[in-house]
Amino acid sequence: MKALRFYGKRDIRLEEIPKPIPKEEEVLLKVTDAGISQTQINEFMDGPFLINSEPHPLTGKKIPIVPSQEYGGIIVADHLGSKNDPVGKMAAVLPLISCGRCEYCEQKKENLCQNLAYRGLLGADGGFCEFSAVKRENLFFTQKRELLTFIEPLAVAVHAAKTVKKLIDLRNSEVLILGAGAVGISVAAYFEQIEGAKVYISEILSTRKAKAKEAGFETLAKKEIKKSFDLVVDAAGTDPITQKPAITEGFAYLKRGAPLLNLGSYFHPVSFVPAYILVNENSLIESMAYDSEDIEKLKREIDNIKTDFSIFIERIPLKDIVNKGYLRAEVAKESFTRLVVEP
Amino acid sequence: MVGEIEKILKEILNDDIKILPKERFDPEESSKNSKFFGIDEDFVFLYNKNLPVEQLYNIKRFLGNFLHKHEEISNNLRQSEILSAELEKMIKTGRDFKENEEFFQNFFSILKNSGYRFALIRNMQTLFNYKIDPFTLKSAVEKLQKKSAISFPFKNGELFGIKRGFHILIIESQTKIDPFDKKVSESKLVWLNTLYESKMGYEIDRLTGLFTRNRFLKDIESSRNISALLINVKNFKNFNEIYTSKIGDKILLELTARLRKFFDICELYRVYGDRFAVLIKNIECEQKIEKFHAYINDTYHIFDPKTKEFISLSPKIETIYFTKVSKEILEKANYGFKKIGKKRAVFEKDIAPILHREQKSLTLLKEALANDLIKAHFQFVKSTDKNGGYFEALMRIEHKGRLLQPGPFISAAKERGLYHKLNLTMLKKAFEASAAMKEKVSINIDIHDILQKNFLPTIEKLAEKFRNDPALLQFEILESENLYDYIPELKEFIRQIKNFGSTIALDDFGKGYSNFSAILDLEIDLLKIDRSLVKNISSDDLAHKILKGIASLCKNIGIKTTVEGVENAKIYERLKEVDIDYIQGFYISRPLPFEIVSRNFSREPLQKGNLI
Ligand SMILES: [Zn+2]
Repeated sequence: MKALRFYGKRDIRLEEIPKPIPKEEEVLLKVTDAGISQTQINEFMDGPFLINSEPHPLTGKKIPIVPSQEYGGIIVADHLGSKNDPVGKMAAVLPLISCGRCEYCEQKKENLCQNLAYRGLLGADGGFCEFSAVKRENLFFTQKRELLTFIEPLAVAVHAAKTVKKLIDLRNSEVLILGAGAVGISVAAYFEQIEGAKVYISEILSTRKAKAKEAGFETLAKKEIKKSFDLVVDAAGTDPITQKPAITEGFAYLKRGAPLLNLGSYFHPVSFVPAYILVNENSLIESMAYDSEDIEKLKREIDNIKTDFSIFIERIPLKDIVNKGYLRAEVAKESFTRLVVEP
Repeated sequence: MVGEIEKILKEILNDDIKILPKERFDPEESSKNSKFFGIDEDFVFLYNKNLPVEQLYNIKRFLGNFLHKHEEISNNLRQSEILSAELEKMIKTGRDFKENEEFFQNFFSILKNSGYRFALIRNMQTLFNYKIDPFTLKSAVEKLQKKSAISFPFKNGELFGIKRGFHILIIESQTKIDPFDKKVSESKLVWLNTLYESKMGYEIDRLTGLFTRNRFLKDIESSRNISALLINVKNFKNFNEIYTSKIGDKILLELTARLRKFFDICELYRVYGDRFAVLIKNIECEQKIEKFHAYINDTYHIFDPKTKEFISLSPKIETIYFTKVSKEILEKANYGFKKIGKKRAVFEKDIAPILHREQKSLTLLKEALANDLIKAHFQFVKSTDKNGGYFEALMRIEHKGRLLQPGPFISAAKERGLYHKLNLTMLKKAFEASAAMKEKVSINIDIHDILQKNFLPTIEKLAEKFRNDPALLQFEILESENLYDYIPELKEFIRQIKNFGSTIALDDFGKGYSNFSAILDLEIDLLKIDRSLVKNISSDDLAHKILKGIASLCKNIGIKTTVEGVENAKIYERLKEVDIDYIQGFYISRPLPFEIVSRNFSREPLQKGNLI
C-alpha cells in the first residue's frame, strides 16, 4: 500500500509499504480521512521532537513512522477476515496507546502513561496511508465523515475542559481562544456548546478567521481584545509569523487571578518575566491529550455538538501530500483551515 | 542587500513582493490583502499572486539560507569594523591614559552606542556610572566579590558583570547582551586594568586593592592638617602559622572590607603585611575610634575551602591615633606598637613622651661615646675563705660631672645599634684593668654579644693587645628571657671561652628566668645568686634555707657561687652560715674607678676608713 513516512527533518517519503494485518482484537481500517496538523508541520520543519528515533518501549517501533494522529475511515475486515460487525462501519481512530500497567494507567490517567505511544507521533503509525490495523477499543464510531479528523482534537478539548474546571467554573465564563486551527475550533465548539462558556476566537489569518465566523463563532481582532477574560486558551502554538508567542501574549488578556490554558506545542524556549504573572496571580495550566473518561464523555456529548466541521475541511489526495499538504502548510498557511488527506 | 533581493524577486515573479522584518509586520493587517509566510525567526515574505506551492517553498528555503548567510557576513563585517576601531582606540589610550569621566565614557563608547547602561568600578569606588541605579550596582558588585563574572536575566534583558584585576564592569541591558559586545568589553577592561597597573602598580596593594606604603608616604607629604589612624593586627602572625597564608589573606580581605565599610570616605592603606593606615581629613574625635574598635574587634568567620568549614578567628586589633602626621609616622608607629601594650593609643599622649625620653638618653649616650665618657668602675668581690677575690667591671656614664647607671640606656642602645660599640668600650677598659692590676676581672656580656659573629675574635684580639692572662678574665652572662632559646650557641661559646682559658659565670640567678637543668647542661664555672634571694636572709628563715640549699647544691656539682647584695653587717654575718665562695656588695666594697682600685686597696669588709 501507499504510505507517507517520516524519516527526519525535511525528510518525508511517499512509498510503498506492506499492508498491515490485523491481530486479534484488531480490525483493518481503510483510511479515508487523515488530518495534517501543525504538530506534524513542526516535526517536518525542525523535528524530530516527539517522533522517536529509538525503539518505543511499548511498541518497539521507531522512525520511519507514518504521521497523522487525527484520522479515520471505514472498517473493511476483522482479524478473521469476516464481514461481521463492525465491518462496514465508519470510525475515527483514537491515537493514544497506553500500557495499562503503570501507576498513571491504574489511576485512569492514560494520557500520562509512562510508556505512552501515540499513533502518527510516537511509537506507532498514523493515518497517512491506505490501511491501518486498529484495536477495537481505539475506535470511535461516527456517521459523520467530517468528524473523522476532529474526534482527536475534540477529545483534547474534553480533557482541557476537565483540567480547567478544577480551577474555574466554565459556565458563562468569558473564554478567549487564540488560534482557529483544528484544535482551536474544537475547543471553541466544545466549551461553548457543552460547557456553556462564552467563547471568542482570535486568529491572525483572515481566511481562518472568516471560516470561524462562518461556523458561528464570535471572532475578535487583536485591537478589540480587552483584558477581561476568565480564561485564555492557547491553541496556536509556535507560529513563525508572530513576534510574540501566544503563550506569553495570552497573559495580557486575562483578568486578575485567571488562568491561561496551553494546548499548543512549543519546542523552542519561550521567555517571559514570571513576576508579571505573579502580581496578577495568573497561572499557566497545561492539558495533554485525553484519557478514557474523556472518551466516554465525548461519546455521550458528540451529538450535542452542532458545529458543522465540514466547512473547515479541504481534501487532497495522498499522492499530493508533500506539495499540496506539507509544503503548503509551511508557506501558505492562510489558504486553509483543515487539510485532510484522502488516501 | 535585502532590498536588492526584494527588487530581483519582484521582477522575476512579476508580483509586488515584500521582505519585512517581523517587528514591522502586522499579520492581522497584512492577511487582509496579501499572502505571506515566515522566512525565519526574523523575516516575513509577503506576496499577492497565486504562486505554486513548490515555488513558494523554494523561495522560502532560498531566502532562509540567503538571509542567514547575509546576516552572518554583515555581522562579521560589523564586528571587524568595531574591532579595528577598538584597536585604534586602545593604541591611543596606551599613549595618553588620562583618567576622567570623559575618558571612561569614550573608552567604553561601544556600550553607550549599543544602548547599554554600564558602570565602571575600581577598588569599590565608582569611577563612572551611566544610568544603572545604585541598588542594582551595589548588589552586582557584591556578587562579584566571590566570582569573576556574573550574568543573570533582568526583566526581559540581562545584567552582566566582570571583574578583572582592580576593575569591575557592570552592564545592564533591556535585551540580551550581544556576546560579541561582552567579549569586546572584557578585553577593554583587561586593557584598562593593565594600563592602570603599569601606571599605579607600586601604589596599589595586589591583595587588598588598598594603597601601598609608597602611596601613603606620598599622600602624607602632600596633605596638611590631616590625622591618621595606624592599625595593627597583633596576632596576625599566629593565624598565618596555625592555618595557611591563604586563610591569612582571607582575614586581611575581611578586615579590608570592614575598614572600607567603616571609613567609607577616607583613604585606606596597607602599609605593612598586617598593618593598615587610614588618613582622616577632618579631625575625628576619639569616640569614633572607640566605635571602630567595637566594630573591628570581632569574631571573623572565614571559610576554609580545604575543609569546607568556617573557622572562627578573633584578630586582636590595636591602633595608634596620630592627630598630626609627619614623615616618620611609620617608624613612630612601629615604635609605638612595640612599646605600648594598649589597644587604643594616642601617639601624642601615650607614646611621644616615652619616645622623647628615650631619644634624650640616646643623645646622651652618643655624646658619651664620642667624648670617652663611658667609664668602667670595678667592684671587689671577696672570696669567703681567703683574702683573694675578683673585680666586676661595671659601666658608668659620666654626664655633666655626675655618674649615671647604664640601665635606662641599654635597651635604647640595643634598639638603635649602639650596644656593641658600648660594650666594646667596656671590654677594652676591663681587659686593660685586668692586665694592669694582674687581677681577675669579671665582664658582663649578654646573649647579643654571644650571637655576634666576631665577638670571640674581638676578645682574642683585645687579650693579645693588652697582654692579658686569660685566666684572669671572667665572662658573666646575663640571664634574660630569651637566653635559653640559644642553648647550642651558648654551649659552643662556653666551650671556646674555656679553651681560651677564661671562666664563665651566670649572672642574676634567681631573678625569674632561671632554668636549673639548662644551667647544669651549660657547665658554667660560677653562679651569681641575685640580690633578691639574699636581701631578706637575716629575717626570713625560709630565704636563708633556700640560699643554703642552692649553695650546697652548687658545691656538690662543682660550681662556685657568688652572692650579690651584701649591703650590711647583718647579711654578712648571716652568710657565714652558708657555704658560698664569693660575696659582693656595698658592705664589702662599692664600685670604684680604676685609678683607685689599682692603687692601694683594702680587701677586708668595709670598715670605717675603707670608704673612700
Ligand atoms: Zn501506562
